[in-house]
Amino acid sequence: MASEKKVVFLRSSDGEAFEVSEEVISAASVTIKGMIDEESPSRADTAATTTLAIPNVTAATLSRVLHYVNKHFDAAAVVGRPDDYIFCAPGDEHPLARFDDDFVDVDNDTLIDLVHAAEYLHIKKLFDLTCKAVADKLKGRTIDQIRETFGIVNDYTVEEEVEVYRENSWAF
Amino acid sequence: MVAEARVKRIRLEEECRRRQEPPFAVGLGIGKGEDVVVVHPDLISCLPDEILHDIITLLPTRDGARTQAISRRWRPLWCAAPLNLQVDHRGLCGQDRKRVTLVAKILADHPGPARRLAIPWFRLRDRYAKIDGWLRSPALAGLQEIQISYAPDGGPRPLPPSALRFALTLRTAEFCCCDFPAADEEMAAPPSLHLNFPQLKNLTLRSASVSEATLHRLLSGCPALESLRLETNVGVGSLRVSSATLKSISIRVLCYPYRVTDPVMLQELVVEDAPRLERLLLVDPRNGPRTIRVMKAPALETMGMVSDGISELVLGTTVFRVAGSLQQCCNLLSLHLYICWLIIVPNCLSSSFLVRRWLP
Repeated sequence: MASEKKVVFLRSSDGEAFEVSEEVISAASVTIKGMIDEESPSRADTAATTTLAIPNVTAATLSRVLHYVNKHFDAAAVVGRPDDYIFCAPGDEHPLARFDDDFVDVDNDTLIDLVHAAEYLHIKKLFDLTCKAVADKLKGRTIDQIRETFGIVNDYTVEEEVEVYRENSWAF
Repeated sequence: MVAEARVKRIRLEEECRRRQEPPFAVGLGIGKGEDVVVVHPDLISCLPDEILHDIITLLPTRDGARTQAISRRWRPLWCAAPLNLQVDHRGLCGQDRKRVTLVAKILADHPGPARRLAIPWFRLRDRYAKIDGWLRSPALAGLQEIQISYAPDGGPRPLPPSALRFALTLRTAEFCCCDFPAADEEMAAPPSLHLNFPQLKNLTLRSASVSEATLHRLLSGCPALESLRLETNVGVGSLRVSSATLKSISIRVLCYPYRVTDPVMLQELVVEDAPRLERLLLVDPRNGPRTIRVMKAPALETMGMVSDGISELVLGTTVFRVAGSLQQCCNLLSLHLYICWLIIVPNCLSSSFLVRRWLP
């Protein structure tokens, strides 16, 4: 069936609509696939394209997510793998590794928004990637550095804090 | 799965509404005098517990445990997150003896389940009972990744059969520099120790000693295996692989003196039927199994490096006998001595099959 590809529109929480191939987004997002399946009986007889409301995700985050989804889940883009992928040994760098690194090289708030969006939209690869990026920001840091980086308020009393440090003295 | 996703979606939408006013950042912004301090909202602490668990379990053990001190919100999270126990200087501490004490403490403190256990370069000495005890700990239930390797010290290096008790949940397993439990030991073990790994995707055995029967039983108990790495092992002379899921096989043959005289080394590799196999990697250009037979691997794209140690290469019904060096092999195959060779291949393989060798 070489008919034109079906598309859906996703409307962000702040009202901006984004166009994406139905096939690509269904492969990527369990949540949206579920929404499309719920909608499908009512849209079978109409030619109108579907618009799905994504109430949890802002336009800024949604456009980033769709950039990721198009890169990772568009079969047309994956065909014709570069030679370096064919020859890479198991455990070698994946061809999209650099894209992924750049993708999560963002400020903390944007990154946390992406974690939320990946969880809500149920895109496992993106969720794993963003969680790992957050973990990398926690890794090897002192508690004060972590609090400062993420704007976390220390609400322990002095006694409580001493107790936590004592119980886990090996970790500090 | 979709119904589950729907329930989750609704729950997350509710959480999002609650999140509109993050509870953790209020209060601080009230400036002193006329200076209004702009407060950075603490978005990370607003993440649901499950997500914070997923993040904390990725941290090295020490970093993970330390997160308990960040704030009250963070205190219960490490114990509720799946344990990631990494028994080395990065995960715990630099001192060998202290590490051993810490493992016992952590396994007692953490209620489990666990996600990952890595014990690299473990000095076994007289500590077999210790490592066996760790592996039996309830805190390690549900383990998905295991990595155990012993530091070579010349002595016996038995892998406790208890390392195989996670078979049902493992996704990645790596056993190095150890003696794999022999098949008869497994027979005597309870059924949970049997070699049945329904979810295992990546398996590595390196510098291990394992019998041919045990390895074949192990492989036949891995219905989801995608990547198999066998490097410098002893005990297997002929390996036959048949798998509906394998994508990559990586082989390296032992090439240096071994502690056992006359070790059994891999002589023959037979890929009987591997419909999804893409890569057959022979990672040592000087050594290789003497005979390689690829009987059915229609998705095979890459094979290499072609080593000087190969004397017979069978692809489908075509046999290449290699009398002398690789140079002659290339002449036989009508290959161009170049960075890579493209050959037209027998019908058992795909049409664009590449044999590659890294030139010195």
